[in-house]
Amino acid sequence: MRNYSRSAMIISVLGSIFLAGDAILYFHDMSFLLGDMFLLVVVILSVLYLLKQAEDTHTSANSSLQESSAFHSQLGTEIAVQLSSAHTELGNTQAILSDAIGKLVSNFILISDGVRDLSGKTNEFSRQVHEVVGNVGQSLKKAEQTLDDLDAEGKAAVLESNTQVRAVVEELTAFNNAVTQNAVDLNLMSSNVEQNVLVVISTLQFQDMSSQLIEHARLRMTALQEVANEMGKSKPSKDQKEYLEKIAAYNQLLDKHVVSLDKQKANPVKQKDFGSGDVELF
Amino acid sequence: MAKTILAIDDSTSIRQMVAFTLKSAGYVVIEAADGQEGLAKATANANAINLVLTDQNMPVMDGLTLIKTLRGMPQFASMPILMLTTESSDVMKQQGRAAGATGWLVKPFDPHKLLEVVKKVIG
Repeated sequence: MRNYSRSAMIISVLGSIFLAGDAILYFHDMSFLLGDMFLLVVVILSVLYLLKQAEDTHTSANSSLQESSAFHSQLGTEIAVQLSSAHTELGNTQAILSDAIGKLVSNFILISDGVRDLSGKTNEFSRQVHEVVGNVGQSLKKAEQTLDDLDAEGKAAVLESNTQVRAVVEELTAFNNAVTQNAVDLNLMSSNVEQNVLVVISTLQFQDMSSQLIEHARLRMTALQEVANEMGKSKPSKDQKEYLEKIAAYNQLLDKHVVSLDKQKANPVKQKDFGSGDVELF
Repeated sequence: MAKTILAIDDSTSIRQMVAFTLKSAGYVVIEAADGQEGLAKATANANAINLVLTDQNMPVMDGLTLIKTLRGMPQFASMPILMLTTESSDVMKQQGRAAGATGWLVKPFDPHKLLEVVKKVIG
């Protein structure tokens, strides 16, 4: 800018000398020459003032550009650090959530399967006890039928034995009734547990979807982090052209990540209605 | 004889929950984690499977591609295939219908509704 300023001054002085020479030749009067010289000084001062202003503006613009560029670089570093921290925290949250969901689902299913299994085994046990009681009863009847063939002493012994066996059968029957009641209670419990697990299943799906949302957020944060890292690494721009080129490069990097993220979307969550899902048969 | 359902979803939790719901109603469930694994298991168990229940958005192969592939195979030409997905837009549903899906269920699913639909489709 200083070179321009000097050139303008030289041109102005030369121009004025020529003008002054012309004025003397044309008017043969020194007052015109003085007026002309005064005008020249005013013109030179004005030109110098304007050039100075332009130079100041340019210096200020350059300084602002460098400041802005440096600020972007600093901002990029700070954003990258914050994103990295948030990314790690989200990752931890997701891991905890996924682990909790996995355990919860597995445990609920295990409990339900266990109760169902227990209920089935109790049913089987009850059936077996019932069968034993039936068999003993039938054996007793057969024994009573053969009583008539025995003598008095033998009859007395068998009757005694029969009384004791009947007492055992009564105890067995009472036991069988208790087991049968237990089986009924367990069946009911099994059914209740299953119903509760089905209700829990609806709720757990939201946690599963939350986990997916966190994963999507992390992917986006990774992309932003990369752009912020690029911003942080760059040196202050020398001029506007370089600055604009950098901005364009950041935009390109962002676009690249957007396309890449769209391709990676394995399981997007687009639930609008957070009630139970619709069903439609075609 | 218990009917067999092939349940395909990349989310382990959802898959477990679907399997639990169906097993509690007496169905036999075969599980797969994506479309490609689903296709392999469907082909390997073609004679046993009575219904395919698949998610849409999965890695490797998505639900719509799986349906189109299955519909191109004679043994699956008329087999009921249900979509169970978070996608609820009409455009996606139309694509599902065009690909050959039998029905569309939106997540989160109500276990009772799921069983109702499955019962309606395969009894």
